[in-house]
Amino acid sequence: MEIKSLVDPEGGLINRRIFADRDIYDLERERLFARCWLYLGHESEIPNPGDFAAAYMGEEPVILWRDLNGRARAFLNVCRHRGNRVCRADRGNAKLFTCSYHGWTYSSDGKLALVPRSEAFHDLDRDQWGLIPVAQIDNYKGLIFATFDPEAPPLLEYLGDMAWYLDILLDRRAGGTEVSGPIRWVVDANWKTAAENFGGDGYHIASTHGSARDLGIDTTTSETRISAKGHQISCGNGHILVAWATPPEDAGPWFAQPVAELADYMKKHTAEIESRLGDVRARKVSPSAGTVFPNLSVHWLTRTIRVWHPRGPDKMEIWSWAIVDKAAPPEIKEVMRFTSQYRFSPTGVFEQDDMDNWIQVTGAARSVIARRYPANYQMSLNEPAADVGLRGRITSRWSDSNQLSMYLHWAKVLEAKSWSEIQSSTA
Amino acid sequence: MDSALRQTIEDFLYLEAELLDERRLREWLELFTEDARYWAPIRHNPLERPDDPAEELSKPGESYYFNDTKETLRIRVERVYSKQAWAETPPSRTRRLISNVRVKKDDGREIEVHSNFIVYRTRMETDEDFFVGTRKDILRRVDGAMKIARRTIILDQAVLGAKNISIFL
Repeated sequence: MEIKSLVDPEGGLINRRIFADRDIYDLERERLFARCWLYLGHESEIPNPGDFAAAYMGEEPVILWRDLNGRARAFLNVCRHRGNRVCRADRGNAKLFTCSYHGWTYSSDGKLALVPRSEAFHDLDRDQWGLIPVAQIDNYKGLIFATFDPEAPPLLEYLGDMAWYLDILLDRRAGGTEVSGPIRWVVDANWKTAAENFGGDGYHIASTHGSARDLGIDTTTSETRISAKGHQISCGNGHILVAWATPPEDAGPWFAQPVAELADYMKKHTAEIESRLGDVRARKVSPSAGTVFPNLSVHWLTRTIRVWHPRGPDKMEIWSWAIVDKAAPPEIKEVMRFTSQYRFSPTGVFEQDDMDNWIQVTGAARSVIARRYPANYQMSLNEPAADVGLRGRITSRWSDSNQLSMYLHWAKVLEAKSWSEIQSSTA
Repeated sequence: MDSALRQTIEDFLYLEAELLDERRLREWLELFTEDARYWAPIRHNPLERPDDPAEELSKPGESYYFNDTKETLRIRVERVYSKQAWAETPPSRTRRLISNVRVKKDDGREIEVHSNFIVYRTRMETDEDFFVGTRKDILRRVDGAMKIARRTIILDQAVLGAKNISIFL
């Protein structure tokens, strides 16, 4: 299949098949989810040796496990013997995992520590039968990522300019961040409908979220909405975000904060924030939402992170966390968590209204007739990049250029046979 | 516990269910005290079977489905009546079965009541969800009327099988 033909950046057209076809989805599992760096969890979820948290890399069940020496590791949650899951819990602390089926037992470094009746296996080389590890695991300021591909570039290189923007959420206070969650739920929609929405779609808010805005439950302030000055930012490698441009008369990290207590909190800590992030990131730009390619999305202003786990071409499982500054006082952390979860969760007054849109976009991709007609991504089509002193490729807020850049990268990853092929044409 | 009290409480809970099923949400909100809390924890699968099932639930300071006051509940209710609340436009049709009503405590002013629920939701053409769990309520006698002062909603699912909870439980 010619994947590139499904995405037409010059014409601003996307073939709807990318949201529905099983063969495209199978290719995503092999070439995208088994190769890209994927978000596994936050270091605050596994602070101590032996702590573990269940995770997924695409559809692959994974155990994120801090070994007894304190090193974060990740393994496929599959017993090497017959394939039973060795861990059935969502989180906890364990020195060993013993498979319930026949009792094969693994230590926190992944080694096969014990095999009942091992003498009957004659020459079983236990070193060859440990848990299947990820190929690379790394941590960016508390966010733990892993990839199953040893050829993938280092995490920092993979994140590129997106790391610079992630710092605005992860590194504005000493001590970094901590998370609570995940809240988990299942939605009958293709995972990309959500990834592209968080990565660029400021356009849908007035229509989709009008009710929440009218009741004062926005993700930013009404003044921010009225000025509506902002950017789409494409960081390369498929990473995209939307950000507000801070007005000179109100230039500080408090700008666009959705809740008065949080604006006050940011004001109070402006000196620290500015010393850590510098003038541009503290005073000139305020990211709202973005997607770390492929399926980690971030909402800076409401302090939310989530993963869109694929569950087939027309289904995803959402895992969502509130992410708060570790240095914040308890009552501010509570405001941060509420700001996140009252808006972004299955009960969220903002997010509830997104779900049917994504379900029905996915439904249209199954329609024999609708898929004869491409989806429209022509907003501000072919607009030139602006130079506003920020990193990445900057276009206007009312644009589909972010979404198209994500899908161009998506097509490239699906077509490429190796990481060198992906990287050669990324710039 | 006296059965007349249980009868009164059952009548109250059935009235509440009727208001929700008939989408009379503003009347439903008036069943809550001004200082009401409305809390629904999330849950996880533990490694070992806990002595107390509550260990599987999130605690204050962690994540939740609901952590509302009467004011934040009011905003949810008013949102449903606004024109662009798409998750409830068209509206969910619900049918709730409230059962196993247990009066746990009565100090003369407040009564602790536990009950089980199955809420069937259908919407649009063929959407279907079941919300199943238990509720732990603190009911308060206020000027001769029964009010909900605190509600804890414990859903049985660990990964919610529904696209949203745009209704009240």
